[in-house]
Amino acid sequence: MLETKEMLRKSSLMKTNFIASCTREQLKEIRQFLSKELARTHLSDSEQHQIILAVDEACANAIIHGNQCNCTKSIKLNLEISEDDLVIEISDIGNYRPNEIKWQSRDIATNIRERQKGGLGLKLIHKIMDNVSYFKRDKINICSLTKHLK
Amino acid sequence: MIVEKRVQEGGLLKLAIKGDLDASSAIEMDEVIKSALGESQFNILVDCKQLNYISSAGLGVFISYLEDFKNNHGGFVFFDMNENVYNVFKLLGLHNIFSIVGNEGDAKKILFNEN
Repeated sequence: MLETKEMLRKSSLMKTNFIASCTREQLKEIRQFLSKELARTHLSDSEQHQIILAVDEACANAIIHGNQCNCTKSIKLNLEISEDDLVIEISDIGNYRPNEIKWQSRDIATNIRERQKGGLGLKLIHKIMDNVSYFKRDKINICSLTKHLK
Repeated sequence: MIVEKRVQEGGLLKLAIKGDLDASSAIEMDEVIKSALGESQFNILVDCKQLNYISSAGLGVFISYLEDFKNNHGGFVFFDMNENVYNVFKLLGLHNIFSIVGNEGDAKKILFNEN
């Protein structure tokens, strides 16, 4: 019985991917791709919007900071949706590693006082997603974002 | 993204933002705000009726100039913002820092009362 349930759960897994070149203009294309895919889930409009925002922030970091908007380079998004979770992996071969300590200690007052434009993307990603991790797999940078759907 | 600039009565500058304010269009938005500052227009009405999307890069533009506008007794007042955009401000606590109201009339009242 358990086996059957597990098989059913696995069969509902949806996998898709998107490759974008490292330009700022591609961010809109990425959002459109996500919007189309997330529309198939039971997530509310507001939840879909927030997930799109979190992924947009992570992709912007990879494109701008990891790959210096080099249009000859690309990032790849892998999206997996099961009954339980939505997992998005953003992979690239750039050099971006987020400063986790910096985002945690940074507050809005500091940004205002120091007239800073950046540093808030990571805060948004962590506020929206349930799990956020950065790691390397075969020399490729992976940013993995998970949202629990149950 | 398109930004329409219009000087209103009383010297207020209205910026109507149309489309998505993301890490791509934030560069243009930055130029618009910088030029307003250069022209000594310190009271900015931000019409968000057609602002579909904002990311941290877009918010960062307004945050980074806030002190400059405040030092000149001015600021930004946002109005007619959709729920998704408002929620991005809320996630970062920016709804407590920026004035966000429902309509243009209320936005003008805030800017006039502050001066």
